[in-house]
Amino acid sequence: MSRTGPGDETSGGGDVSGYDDGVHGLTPLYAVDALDPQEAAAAEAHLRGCAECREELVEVREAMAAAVAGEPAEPPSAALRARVMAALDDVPQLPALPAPLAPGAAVSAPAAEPAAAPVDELSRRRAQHAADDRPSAARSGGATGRRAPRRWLQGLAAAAAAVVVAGAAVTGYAALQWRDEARAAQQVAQAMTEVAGAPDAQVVDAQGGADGWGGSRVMVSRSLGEAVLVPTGVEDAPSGRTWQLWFVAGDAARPAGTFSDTGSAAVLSGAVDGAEAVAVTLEPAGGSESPTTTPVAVYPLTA
Amino acid sequence: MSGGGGTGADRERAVDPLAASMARVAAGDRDAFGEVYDAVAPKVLAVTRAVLRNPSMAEEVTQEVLLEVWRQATRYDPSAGSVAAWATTIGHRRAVDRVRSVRAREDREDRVVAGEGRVEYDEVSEQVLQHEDESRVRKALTGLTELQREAVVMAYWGGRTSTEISAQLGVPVPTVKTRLRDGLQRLRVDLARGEPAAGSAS
Repeated sequence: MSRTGPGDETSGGGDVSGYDDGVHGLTPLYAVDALDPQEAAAAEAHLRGCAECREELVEVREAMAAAVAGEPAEPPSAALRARVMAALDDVPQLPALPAPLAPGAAVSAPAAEPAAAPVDELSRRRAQHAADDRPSAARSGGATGRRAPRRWLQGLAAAAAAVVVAGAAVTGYAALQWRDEARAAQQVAQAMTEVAGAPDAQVVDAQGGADGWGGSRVMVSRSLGEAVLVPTGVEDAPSGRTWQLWFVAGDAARPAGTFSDTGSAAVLSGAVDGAEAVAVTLEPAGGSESPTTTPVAVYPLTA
Repeated sequence: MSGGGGTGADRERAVDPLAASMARVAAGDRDAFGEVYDAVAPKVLAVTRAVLRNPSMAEEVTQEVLLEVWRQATRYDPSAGSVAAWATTIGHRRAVDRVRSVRAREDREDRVVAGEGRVEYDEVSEQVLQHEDESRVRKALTGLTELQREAVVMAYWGGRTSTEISAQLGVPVPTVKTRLRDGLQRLRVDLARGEPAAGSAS
């Protein structure tokens, strides 16, 4: 392949086919975890809608995997294998996602409407029913994969009984508000009910979700300005660190509370406003004013 | 060139033989997980070692990653790449997070000095280019310009963001991004040519 010399180091000017034109060019950098958290969130949001970039992401990742792992210096020890196999009992598998990403996407590269687009509860149910009728590798999650969204929504009631407000680490004014736990829990329950019932409610699955952050969902109503996190499969943050939620818009990330009670739903602090996504990062205990790590999960919101 | 534009939907990717095993892993099949483990654990370990350069920490992260593969098996999407690339991506992310949190602690302790970036790059590149001589890493990286190589090594092996690289080299962020992106594109093209089914079996 005869490439034009990439020797042009001074930011490319106009000859690099618009690579600095925003989020499109972030993909290779995202593929090697070289983006700041806000940029990474933007890249993830973009990737959902851009099949070309998804393809590029895969290729860069494959290339780096092949490059670095081509010839391992020494094989992993037998002890490591034994430890991993022994630990399987302690690691429950995540249920399969109710709205399957794969079946359509695997065959036809999704164009304008990615299969993973956030959907309302109704279309989710429809997708679920359709998926139930067709045997599919992507739905081979077995018994644990049968968690129907209907049940999930009903489960909100149960979750609401054990809710806690996000922002446990917030002090002062917020802490005062927070003192009455029963009242707070009631508020969360009420918020969940309201959001779930709002005509513009969206239920968004995590994009990403590695690093101890499991298959949680975020439920958002723009008209109400409220967002609720319903955690499933979230592990406790490593000691000395905390999960922190963010409202992301453009380059900016607004803190939306820390999150420590991984078994309970939480209302995000602050209003949804123009947020394009909700993101989750691991932060030093107490939380940060802006994200300091790559998001473990991003929940892109529809406008 | 158009940034690899035309290769998208019409391009067939080799079917990853491990994908079938992953489907069984997703149903809780431990034998299948053993197959996946044997295929990907050496690759994940290679990645975590490359980033962490501390053998016991690399093993620890590799263990976490393989358990993550088990835990998230139901979420594996074959259309989003091979099982090996999926696992090594998780491994890289985790190793980088680990490195960054260690660094953040060190930064708080004021242990960062000017020029550290250059020293680090020399150290990392020595590791990458000489220690693993004859490897495909070396072959692939030697196809890059010096400046691209520096950016790619600092990012992938050094766990640095483009902002950090910019600060450490005293070069504008867009320039760093351009070098990184061009270097990664080049690697992607070279490695794809070297072995079409990169990252799957073998």
